[in-house]
Amino acid sequence: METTATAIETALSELRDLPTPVSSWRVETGPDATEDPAVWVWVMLEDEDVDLRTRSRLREIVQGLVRETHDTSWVYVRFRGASESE
Amino acid sequence: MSLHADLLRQARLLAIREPRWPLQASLRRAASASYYALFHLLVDEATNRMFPGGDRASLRGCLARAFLHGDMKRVAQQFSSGGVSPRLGPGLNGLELQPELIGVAAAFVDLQQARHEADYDTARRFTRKEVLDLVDRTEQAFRDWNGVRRSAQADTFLAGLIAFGNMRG
Repeated sequence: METTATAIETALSELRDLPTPVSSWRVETGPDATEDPAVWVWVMLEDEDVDLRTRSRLREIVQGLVRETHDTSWVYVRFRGASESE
Repeated sequence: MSLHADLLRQARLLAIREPRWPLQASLRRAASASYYALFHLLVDEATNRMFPGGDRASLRGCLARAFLHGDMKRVAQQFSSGGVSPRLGPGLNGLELQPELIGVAAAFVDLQQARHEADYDTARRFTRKEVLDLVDRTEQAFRDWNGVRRSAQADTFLAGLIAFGNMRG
């Protein structure tokens, strides 16, 4: 699963022309609350204030990429401001 | 005000409660309240369709206890991905799912997972922006639902939420 997370992170970092700049990505894999295999993607946004419409477009791009390349239906995308990154 | 509207309002208030350093407790309760706002909106819609009227409020309360989070997630995932089960398909009557309904279903899946993490995963750290995104999505889901709530697709969604686990092939 570690390999999967790294592969997804690499694929995400190669995305271009995103609706808003992304400073970094963090990906985790594992079972979700209902024990389905899932992927979590934390998106660190460069801009502090990104509207919901733009976040939604970015969410769709991320989910599309993960679902295209990995056999999972459950992709949880979470947004953080760059100042909030760990 | 309805319970679901109150929960949504409470979610935003909790997310911005501490101006500088938000407490994890506040952010977690905001995430949880976001999910339950959408949950109770959909339960309210479903039970009111079956038993409308003031004199049926207690019965609606009984029926509301029949909703199972796991089954609701399965149905929401079907609607969010466009892959509605043949068990529910006839209810759609050949109609396409509206983007708004797909949005509601997708938000439900995501919010349910966030609620689980907020309530049980103490190793997870929430940030304010992350939680405000959940609140924003819930508000959008409310708006989207209002746009489609009278449609056959919405009725099929609600039927699935309450009964999918008991529907046989």
